Amino acid sequence: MIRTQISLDPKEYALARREAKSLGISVAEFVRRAIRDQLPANGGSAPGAPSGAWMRYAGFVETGNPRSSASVDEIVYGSKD
Amino acid sequence: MARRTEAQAESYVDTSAFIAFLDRSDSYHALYRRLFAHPPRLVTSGLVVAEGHGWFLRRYDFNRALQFLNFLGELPGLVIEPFGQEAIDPARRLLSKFSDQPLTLADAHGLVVMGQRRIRVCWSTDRHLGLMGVALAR
Repeated sequence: MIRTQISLDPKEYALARREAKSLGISVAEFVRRAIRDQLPANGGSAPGAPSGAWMRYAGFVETGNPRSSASVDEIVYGSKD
Repeated sequence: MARRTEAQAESYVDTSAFIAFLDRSDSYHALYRRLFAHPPRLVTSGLVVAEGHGWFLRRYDFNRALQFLNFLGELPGLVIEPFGQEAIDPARRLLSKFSDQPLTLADAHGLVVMGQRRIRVCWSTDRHLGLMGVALAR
């Protein structure tokens, strides 16, 4: 791994720390994941980067609903879980 | 024994896991992005395929629904268990057994498939898929 230093807005740092804690990971790991999420799925020449063609579909829609996967029945069958 | 070893390497995928991966707004998106990046052998139901396709048709349009099928086609080694005549009885029994739960036929078929293939891990954000004691990735 390459060691680097970044500066964060205090509010964003607090939010990142809270989110990392809820996921049970370090802030550093949280930041690494955020970076991975923003990088092109196949872009990488980075070692270990996923190169499968199917990964280009990751997040190809954006419903704006954080409970999207939990409300599939509601959308498909018109009933609430 | 060979069958058991094979089963241990398989994970069942529910509609919710596909949606969590494909919808960047979903709170489980990061988790499923990681899981799908290096997938084990994945198994799903033909009914899940229909549900997912229906979700995209309802939420978006024909083209997005087609993209969902394209994605499934590119997912390496995905096994799609058909829902045929022989699946009706076991699925019906499960629906009766868990009649107090809002299980869909796709859920019930998923539980049947997991039982038959001895799959111990289910990729799902839906707690109902854990009814038979498999570990949910959520």
